[in-house]
Amino acid sequence: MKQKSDVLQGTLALMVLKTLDVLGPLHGYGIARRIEQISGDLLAVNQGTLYPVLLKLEQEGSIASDWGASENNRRARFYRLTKDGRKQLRAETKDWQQTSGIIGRFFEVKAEDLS
Amino acid sequence: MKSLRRLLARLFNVITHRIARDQDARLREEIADHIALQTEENLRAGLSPIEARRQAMVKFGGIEAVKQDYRAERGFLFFDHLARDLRFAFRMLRKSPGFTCVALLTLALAIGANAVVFSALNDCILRPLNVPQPESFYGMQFCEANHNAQSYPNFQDFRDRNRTLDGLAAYDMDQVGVDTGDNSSRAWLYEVSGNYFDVLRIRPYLGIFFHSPDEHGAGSAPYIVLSYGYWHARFQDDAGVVGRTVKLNERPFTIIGVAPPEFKGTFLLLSPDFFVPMVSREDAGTFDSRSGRWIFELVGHLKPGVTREQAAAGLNSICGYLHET
Repeated sequence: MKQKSDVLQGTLALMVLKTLDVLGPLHGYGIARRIEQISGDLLAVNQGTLYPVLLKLEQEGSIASDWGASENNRRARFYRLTKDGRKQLRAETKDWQQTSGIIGRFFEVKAEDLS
Repeated sequence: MKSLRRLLARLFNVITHRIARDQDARLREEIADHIALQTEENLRAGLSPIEARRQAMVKFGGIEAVKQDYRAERGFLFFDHLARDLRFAFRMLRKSPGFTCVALLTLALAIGANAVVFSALNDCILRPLNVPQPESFYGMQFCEANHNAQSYPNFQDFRDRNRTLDGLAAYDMDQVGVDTGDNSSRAWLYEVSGNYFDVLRIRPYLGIFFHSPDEHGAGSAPYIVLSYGYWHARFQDDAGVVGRTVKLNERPFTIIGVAPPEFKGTFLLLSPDFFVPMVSREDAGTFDSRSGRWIFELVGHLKPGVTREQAAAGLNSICGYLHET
């Protein structure tokens, strides 16, 4: 259970960074909504788990946040990517693509390929 | 670098409790916003208001769990809990002052008693006397057990008749009034035999020491050797004090030297402010009487190759002689 949530947290952080990179500043609900749309059901339950991740990213300096007005003119906390965050996103994207490439190749391997 | 920044942020949050409360408020507000926005969306999708809100809550997940995760990320929960426990303990102690007093007193007494016992043991046992060749250095009890104290004539006999000791010195402790001319105070001194420093094999730090040939009967050799600590505290390390005259109990004495810093006397529980020859006492009677046992202890080094038992046997034979006279 714990391990699963750790993995989820790591991928969630990367998704947050990518979302902010593509869409610019967003509030928490906006980020959750966007990730939900793209990832299907991964975040359909427990949208709340996003907030500890946002805090962690902010403490690491990858994102920053300010109060602003949401679309219906309510006060909302807007998160945006920082320069460090952009750098981190680039590095982690590369890592992730490498990893998934390797894993992908492993799944394609059949017994006769190894003999 | 990233984790360092995060560590600092978390530490900062632990220290500044007020900001923590702000952040709690911020999270509450964000959660409320989040659920409100989701509810609006559900309403647009055609759900009834109650159902719209319910589903928004379900989708968000356990709010308390999120809050806890959030706090765990924010600072170090350990410190938060520790602080809370301490505050709780403090409140409980304030509620029952009687118990608090008893507990405090118990702790204070226990710690105090332990400290006293330790410092006494440290002085008596753990720290050896600071004299050269301490392994052959002995203090002596003579003739009757429980009697360290010796009369001056007995000391002279032991000193002159023994063949096992490389010299035998005597010392006694006393308090005295010191008048340096500009102010007067009380001080602890050792009254010592003239050969004291020679028997102990100690060299002066400054000036000279007195020796056996300086002794010329009662009232002679009015000399002072300062301990290093006293010289430092009372005379501010002034090398000019050698040769100066001060009054001890209204009698003039001349400062002739300063003992080395590491030498603090031969009785660990009392280091003297200075040393004077015991013959500087004026009343001749104290030096004639065998029954006046006023000398605190006799000390000396064994001669090379002499064992403790041999030395004891030698001194016991002198005891026998003294009993006959």
